[in-house]
Amino acid sequence: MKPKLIIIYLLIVVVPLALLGGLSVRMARDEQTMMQQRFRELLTEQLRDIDTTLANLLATRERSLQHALELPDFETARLRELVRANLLIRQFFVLDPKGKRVHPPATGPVTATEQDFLERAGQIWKDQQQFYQTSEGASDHGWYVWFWGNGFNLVYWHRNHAGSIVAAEVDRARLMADIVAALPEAGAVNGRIALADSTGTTIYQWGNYVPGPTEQPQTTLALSAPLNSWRLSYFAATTDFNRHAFWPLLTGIGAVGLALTILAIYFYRENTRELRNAMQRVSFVNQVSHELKTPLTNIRLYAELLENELPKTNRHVSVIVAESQRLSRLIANVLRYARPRTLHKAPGNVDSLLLSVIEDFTPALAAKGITVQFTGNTRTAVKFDADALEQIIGNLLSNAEKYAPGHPIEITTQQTGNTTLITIADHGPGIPPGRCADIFKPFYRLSNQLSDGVTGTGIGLTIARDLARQHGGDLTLLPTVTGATFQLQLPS
Amino acid sequence: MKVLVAEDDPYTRRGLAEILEAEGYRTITAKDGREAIVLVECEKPDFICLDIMMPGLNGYDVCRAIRKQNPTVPIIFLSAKSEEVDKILGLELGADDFITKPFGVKEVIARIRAVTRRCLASRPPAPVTSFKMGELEIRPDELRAHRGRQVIELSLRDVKILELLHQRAGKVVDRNTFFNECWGLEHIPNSRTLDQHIAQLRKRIELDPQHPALITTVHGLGYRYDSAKCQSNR
Amino acid sequence: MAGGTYGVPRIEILDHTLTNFLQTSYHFLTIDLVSWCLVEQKGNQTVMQNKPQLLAVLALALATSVARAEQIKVTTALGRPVLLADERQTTYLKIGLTGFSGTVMERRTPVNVAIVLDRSGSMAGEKLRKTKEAASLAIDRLNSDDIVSVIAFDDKVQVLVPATKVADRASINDAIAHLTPGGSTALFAGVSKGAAEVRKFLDRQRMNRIILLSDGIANVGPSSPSELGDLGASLIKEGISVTTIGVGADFNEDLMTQLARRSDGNHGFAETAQDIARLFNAEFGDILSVVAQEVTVRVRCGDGIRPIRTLGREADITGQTVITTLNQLYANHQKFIMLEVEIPATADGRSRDIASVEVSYANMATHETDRLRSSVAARFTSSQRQVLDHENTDVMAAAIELIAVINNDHALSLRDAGKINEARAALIDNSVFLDSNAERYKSDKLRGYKAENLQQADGLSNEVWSTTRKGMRGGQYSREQQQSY
Repeated sequence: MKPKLIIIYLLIVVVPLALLGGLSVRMARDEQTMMQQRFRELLTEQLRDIDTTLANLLATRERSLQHALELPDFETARLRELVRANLLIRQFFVLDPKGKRVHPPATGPVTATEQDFLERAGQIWKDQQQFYQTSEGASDHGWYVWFWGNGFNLVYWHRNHAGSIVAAEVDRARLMADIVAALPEAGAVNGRIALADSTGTTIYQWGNYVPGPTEQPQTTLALSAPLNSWRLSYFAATTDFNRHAFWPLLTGIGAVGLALTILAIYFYRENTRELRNAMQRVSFVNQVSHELKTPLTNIRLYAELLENELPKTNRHVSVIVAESQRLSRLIANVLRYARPRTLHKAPGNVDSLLLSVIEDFTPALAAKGITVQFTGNTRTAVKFDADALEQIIGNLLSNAEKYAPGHPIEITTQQTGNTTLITIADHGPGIPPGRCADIFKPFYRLSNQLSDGVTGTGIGLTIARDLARQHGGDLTLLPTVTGATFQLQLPS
Repeated sequence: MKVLVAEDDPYTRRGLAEILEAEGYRTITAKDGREAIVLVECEKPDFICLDIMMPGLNGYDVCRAIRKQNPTVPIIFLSAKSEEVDKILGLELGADDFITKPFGVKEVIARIRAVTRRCLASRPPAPVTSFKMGELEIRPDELRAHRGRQVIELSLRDVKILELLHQRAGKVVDRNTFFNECWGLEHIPNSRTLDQHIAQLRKRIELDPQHPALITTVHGLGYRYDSAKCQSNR
Repeated sequence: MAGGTYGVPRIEILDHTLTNFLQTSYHFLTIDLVSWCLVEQKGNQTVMQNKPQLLAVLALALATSVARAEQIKVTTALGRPVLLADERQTTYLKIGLTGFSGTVMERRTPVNVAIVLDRSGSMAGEKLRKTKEAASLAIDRLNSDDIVSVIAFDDKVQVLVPATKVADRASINDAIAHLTPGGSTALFAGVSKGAAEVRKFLDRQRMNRIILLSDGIANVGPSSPSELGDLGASLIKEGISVTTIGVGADFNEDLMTQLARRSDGNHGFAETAQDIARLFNAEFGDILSVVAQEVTVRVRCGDGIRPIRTLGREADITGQTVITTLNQLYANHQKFIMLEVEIPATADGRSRDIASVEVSYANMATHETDRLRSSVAARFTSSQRQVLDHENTDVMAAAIELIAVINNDHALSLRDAGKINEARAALIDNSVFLDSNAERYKSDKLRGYKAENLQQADGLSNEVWSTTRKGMRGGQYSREQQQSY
């Protein structure tokens, strides 16, 4: 199989396949990204749901705190009692409309926990404006968050009708515990959801999936206010989609590849079918010619034997002999054209061969009124394939016989240096100027009309020249005024 | 000299055999490869004409087989499938020559004579030396006769006839002797064959075939060669 | 879920007594004159008595003392009821609260308990097996009135048995049996979920408890003693106590004791897996014997009297007022508050009101809130002899014990700081201190603690320190809280 063909077929199969493969991989990847995106959105939805649950929890707390903060007065003992009794409230403070702290009492003894609280919430007293500014929610109630130490502190405040600010610090541990209690338990999801506080440490987590030590979450969500320094993270395995897409993709490409390969094979076979057909035809021709050869051999042999037995003047036999010779040449030409054989060069006498050929042709030529004048000047032996040379000369003489009847032919040989030249000149109509190159082309005949009385296959000169060139020489048409003169060069 | 012709087509085979016989060779034929090998074994021919395309064992195989036994016997291939005859193959197998079909009589004779020359040249005992008949120098090992510059090709039989005449110079050589010496025991040619052959020979070697100087007819008996001395004596 | 007071507070014991009297009288009047039997109401039990009516009435009339059979007993006593005159000095006031006998109750207080178990990887093997066994055994002691839930945690939390009445023991035990070890330790979350389960059936009429068992360091979620302590403090407001049981040498005893302390639960140290069953059992013994809940003690110090500190317990001291809460009292078990007070110089022969104590609690027998009052005064003398003679050994011994606990804790801090030698010296000093006082006050408890301190002094090396520390904490806690085990 020719390498060029291989390349072509590879291109037919490989290139589209590569393109397809590339595109589908791209598509698969895009789809995976999209699916991951969707997956993440789903997860984020779930996190939002959780956030909503927690927001509701906080809202409930807010309501109960609101209720608790509706106090008729700010008597210290009562407030202390409230702190003691209320689960959520860790500490309390009250600012009067002017911003002065009413509770914990500015004067008088404070409990240890109150003292602690004052320290923790120090910045509120220092800069009350900041407190008002950063408080969230509507202007008369809301949450306030601040950080102290490594803790996150949460206060719910409420401005009562008199203009005092009443605020309760929410017990953080309690809040966390309530949040944990409200969140699902261990195996509720297939991934892993973790709630982390403002420092990033996990407060609570649930889910079946165990993330690796450095694994990043698929998606995170910050909780809604006032817990927006806390976030939910969702860990999950992501590799599922790829595998799902992978096998169909592979089979798809495989199928296309298979189809293309089959196509390529089909085309190849079609192509080579031509070749094979041609070869079949050639071998058929060969076969036929070989089939023809044997009877022809016999005909010629016996014709020649007969010729010896009969008197020389018997024209019938000479016709048979001449025609069988012609038939031989024709077959030789056809075979030569179909399958040129390698030359079998042996040193020989060019002149004697020429003479022998001429002798063979003489009757036929004589019948056409052609005489041959031979001048042989070769001295040294020349290495040539006798059959080939015979064929060349035979073809040339045959042409002369066909195209230049009634005129003499001059055949001369000479040797100069390393070359032997054989010149065959006839005095027929010659070759029209434009056709000098054409005549050597296969199947080209000067006259295509059968009515011209000229027969032939058009391959005589082609073969003659090919044979000449195979010898390392050449067959050329010499420019002449009249007729056609061919010159055969052979290296000595 | 003995020649084996191995050829499957009967006409070609007989045709070749006839040509060879006419040349003066004792011919044995085989119609396929196996027969050929056997005959080579038994008859030990001086050279072999081998067709390539034969049923069963083809010419190449036969050639190889023969070569195993006898590396020197000349083999001429009769090739019908010309394109397959490679120089390499030919050389490898040790063929001496190829004749491509369809071949003509002249071609065959020329090739055979060439091979015969080589045979004669390589064969011991001492090569047969040339002898003269008048101005004609006959060189049996070359299968040629020279008259001055003129070169005349001779067949084996021609040579034998001339040798015989030369040996019995001045004496009549009767027909039977000719038959025995020049035609071999297998052939029982009629006298016409001899006369025809002598006539053909005269055409080639006599200066004037109508008035032969070298070969003189002795009516009813045979022929005679007179040497110049003898002739001049007449 | 705001507010923590229970029902409508009845006010005077007098009122209570009167009602009782009337009830009894009514029963008396309805009795069949032929039998002449008196039927006395003692709670819900009927006792036949063949005493003459008069005696019975008298007996009833005499029942004006503060300690009724179905009430807790409040005792207030000074360490030195007779003080030296003309000297500013400090002394100890012990307020003792003793639960009444459980037999008074028709049925014991139903329980609402969440058992929170650590199933982290370190629990695998013997520990988990023993824990499961202990839990199952303990649950067997509950009856169909009780509500139990089982929660297991590692790095996640799983509610094995949601709060349910102890009806289908088989499935509860089954769920426990299938507990397998897992990952790390989300202790806070475990307790939170446990609390959620308890809340489902939260009832002041029940004893609401979380029992936490862990062997490791909490490492998921809030993990510091103060955070867990804060959780405990908030849980107690709901009436939920957390008892912590630490197993092995790796748990955080500070965390466990803080959680227990702030929620008024118990703390146990199971050195080996074998101890787990014993502790579980003892805890359940406590749980099943609760007679009073939501105990609030208010101490108002007299004029000039300054409350300095409470030993062992946490209390809110504001000015003259000291307020403490306990979540529950167990039958026949005394818990006390030891208050150190400063007394100004007082003239010889005078007496002072040192403090008045008000105790309110939910009575599990009567399902009512009781309020009990008590007060204590001191006399002053210039006679040192008198002072010593009248020393209340019980109070003093208890105070000494608590002081020794403080010393023990100090030694623990020294050892935490790496000062082994100083720590050992402190422990030995403490044991000497305990020894001399044990002699003086004839207290076996003090002797016992002395021995502990000596033992601990030998256990300060790196290999055993972890265990010793847990023992020290456990010992401190148990004494501070007057734990029954």
